Amino acid sequence: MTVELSTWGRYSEPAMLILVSLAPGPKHGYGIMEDIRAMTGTSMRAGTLYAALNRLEHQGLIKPVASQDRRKPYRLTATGAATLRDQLTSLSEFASMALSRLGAG
Amino acid sequence: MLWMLRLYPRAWRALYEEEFRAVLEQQRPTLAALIDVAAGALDAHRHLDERTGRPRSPIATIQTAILTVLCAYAACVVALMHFGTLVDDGPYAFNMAAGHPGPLLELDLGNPLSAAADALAAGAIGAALFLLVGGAPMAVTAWTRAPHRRRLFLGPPLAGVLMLVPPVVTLVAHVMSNGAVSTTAIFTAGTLLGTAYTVWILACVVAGTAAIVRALGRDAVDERRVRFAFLPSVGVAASLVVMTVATVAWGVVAHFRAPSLFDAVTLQAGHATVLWLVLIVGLMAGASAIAVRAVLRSAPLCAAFS
Repeated sequence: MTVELSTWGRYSEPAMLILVSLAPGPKHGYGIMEDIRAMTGTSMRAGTLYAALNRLEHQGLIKPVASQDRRKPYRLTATGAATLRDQLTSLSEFASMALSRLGAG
Repeated sequence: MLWMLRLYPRAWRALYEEEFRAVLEQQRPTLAALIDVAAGALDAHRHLDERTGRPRSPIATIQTAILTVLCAYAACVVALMHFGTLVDDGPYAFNMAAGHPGPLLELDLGNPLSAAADALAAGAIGAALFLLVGGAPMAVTAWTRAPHRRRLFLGPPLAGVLMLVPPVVTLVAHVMSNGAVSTTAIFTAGTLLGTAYTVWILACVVAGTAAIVRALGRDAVDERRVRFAFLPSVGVAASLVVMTVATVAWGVVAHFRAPSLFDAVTLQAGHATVLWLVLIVGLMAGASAIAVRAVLRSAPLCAAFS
């Protein structure tokens, strides 16, 4: 089962970036922000990050990992990984189609 | 920037406060970061359950949309009350008496000024009827399901009584002082007393609306009633749009057909100035836009149930 992120309005893109950031392994909030900055060159701010984290956690796409630190790490769940795979496949298909159109023009 | 954590709901803070604090401590307090945290807090209040800190269920989101429409209706009622002061005793009334622009609430489609006023009245009556159809079952359910909130239903009538207190006090003072105290002072906009009375009316409407919103809040109403009330709330939103368009049309027609209506240099009640009309239309348009946005966002959720 996967979740349709495109229905999340302005939080769909931040949610996708968080899933990508957590794909290699667990990270805490600030780690996710730093990783997204390194990946995209743009920063995701704290308010947006936690609004998206809340939705992802509620939908069962990510899960907190037990930690002694007050900075709680999160990890991807199986549903989260499947959702990310679906989204990336759709994006990849769209990109291929768009590139082929560009080539045809 | 840490003080902004207090803007978030308590249930949200119970889940995320510690880690969010750690992130904020590492972030530079720029204006953009402050706005982002404020927007996050607003989002949390709008979309999260107050008890669990988790996103609300679709039915709770629909209920929030219905209550948003109710608040928009209250704002339009305030605007309509002030529109009434423009036309009831002012130059418009004198012009009507002189037979110039036409009667206010008489069906006369040949007269655009009258037609606009009729459309406004139709919108107001329509909104009230839709509100009654959708709101009455919700109110009855809330009354029986949440007895501890019953006293909140006293809010709107109490607010109505409190709105009448200043005019009654003024009238008593007028009689006691043998006419030395003016009875119209509190109705004169732009003066200290007039402004104070406008603020008083706004406070009463806000308090009355807040009470009824709380009475019809989560847990007080079941899913069936909420789903039933959605369609009437769409009707209320549409009626508010009709009221706004009719008020704009009235203003435009009045401006060309009876320009003397806008000659008043003061904001005295009963004198239609362009500024006063713009304020009224602005309030109506803002409230209508919020109502329409709320029902449009909830429509897909409601359709998913059927």
